[in-house]
Amino acid sequence: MTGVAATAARVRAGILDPVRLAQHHLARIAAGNPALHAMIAVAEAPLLRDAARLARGAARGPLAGVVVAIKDVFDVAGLPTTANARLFVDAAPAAADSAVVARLRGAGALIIGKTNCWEMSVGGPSRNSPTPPAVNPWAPGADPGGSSSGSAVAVASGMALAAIGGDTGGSIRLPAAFCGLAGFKPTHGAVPMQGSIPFADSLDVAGPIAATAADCAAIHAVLAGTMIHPPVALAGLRIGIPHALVAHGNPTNAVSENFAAACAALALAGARLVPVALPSAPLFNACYFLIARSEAHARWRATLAAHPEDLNALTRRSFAIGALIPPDAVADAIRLRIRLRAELAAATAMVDVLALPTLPDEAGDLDAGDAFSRPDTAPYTRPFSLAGVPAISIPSGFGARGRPLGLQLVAPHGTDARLLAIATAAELVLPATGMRPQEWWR
Amino acid sequence: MQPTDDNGEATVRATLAQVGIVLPAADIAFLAAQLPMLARTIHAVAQAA
Repeated sequence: MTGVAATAARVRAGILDPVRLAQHHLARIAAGNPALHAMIAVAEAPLLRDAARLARGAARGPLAGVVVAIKDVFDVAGLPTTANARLFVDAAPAAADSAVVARLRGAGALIIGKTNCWEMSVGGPSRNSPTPPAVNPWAPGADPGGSSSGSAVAVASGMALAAIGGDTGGSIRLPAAFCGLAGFKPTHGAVPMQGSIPFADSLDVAGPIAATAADCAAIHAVLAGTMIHPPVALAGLRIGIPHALVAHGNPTNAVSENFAAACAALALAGARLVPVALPSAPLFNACYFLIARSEAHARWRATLAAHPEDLNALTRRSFAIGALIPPDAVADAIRLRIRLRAELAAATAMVDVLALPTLPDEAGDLDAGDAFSRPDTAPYTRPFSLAGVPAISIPSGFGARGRPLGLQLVAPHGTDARLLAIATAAELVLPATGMRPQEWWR
Repeated sequence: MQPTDDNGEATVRATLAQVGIVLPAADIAFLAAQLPMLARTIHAVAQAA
């Protein structure tokens, strides 16, 4: 598959017809969505209209003709924003684009529609939500991760070249890893969140899911209004390995072996692996849990009181548990967060990036239920959400069941573009980049 | 949050009622079952903060 930058270059050069590109992705949706449930809404008419306008020579930006799908928590003008919740299923169409969608359109991207997600970015996977859970293209019945589940499934199945997800504690990186893709969580605040349904404002970010880190870099540059960093060589890079945090996450043998192989590949390319101490590793997730749940409760308390029946049980419980956290405990968590951020900043100051697995296991089955509502789950992604630093998951191989695994790279606050350049170099030496699932759904 | 009743359900129900939230019994039971985990989490953070 052609990447984001190459696709846009060919559209700008008049080699690729954006209308045919749009029709290609619409056909992929028609073939795959009945089994995969990646898309909640498809904006066929506006997509073809915008593609035709682009073909006629409308302003052609860095994402000209790149077909992008949008997690259904970000407003797209003309479509309702539902967060896959009964609460919003009858919402009026958005009057205007969210900030991220406006920036994508301004760069020439073509918006194909809204992707499925866990209800309100937390209550899933659940069969009680308006749209059934998205299915991982790598295996029938497999969990694609969440909460930006449909965004990852749409890209992995070719329904879009890239997608936008939201990440509070791992909701971009986790589905990207489970679906064999790259998923980038920017520095908190680097990408505007206007026009989105929040979960926890001090943690929420918007970012791309795409086949490669290079694709993510092209999309993020538009979302953040920054330049793409020049290429970075792996030779001589210092890659920090937070052994205590990795061990604390209790990875499976397959994940440990895959992580060791990924580190060996990076070292073979000339990177230096450096042990990094994070003495407070076990505290990151506890602190995250108190802050995320108390913020979500404060944001959605009135809605939960007025319309409990319009939310599924997982969402109700996730929003309600914040009421059980005393204000003093929230204050303690905020104070501890400052110390943990400083500890992480000190650790990353000694290296170029941290490397660790994205998840302690490969994807399970959807029928296994809610995997991420407990404080000791997603142990490798939440610490960096708490710290607000950029992190990316790139494909690193496959687990014992043949389902994808991810390698997570983490960098200091504000160094998003350089992290993406390092990840672009790293994915070239990892074996799983660009691999696609068998199309069992067609 | 330390439960003062046998299984914590009355504590959960009363705390939620203070902010106008009324949830099904299954939700209350689920949340009450989380109280020990929540207490451990709060304690760990308080000790470290």
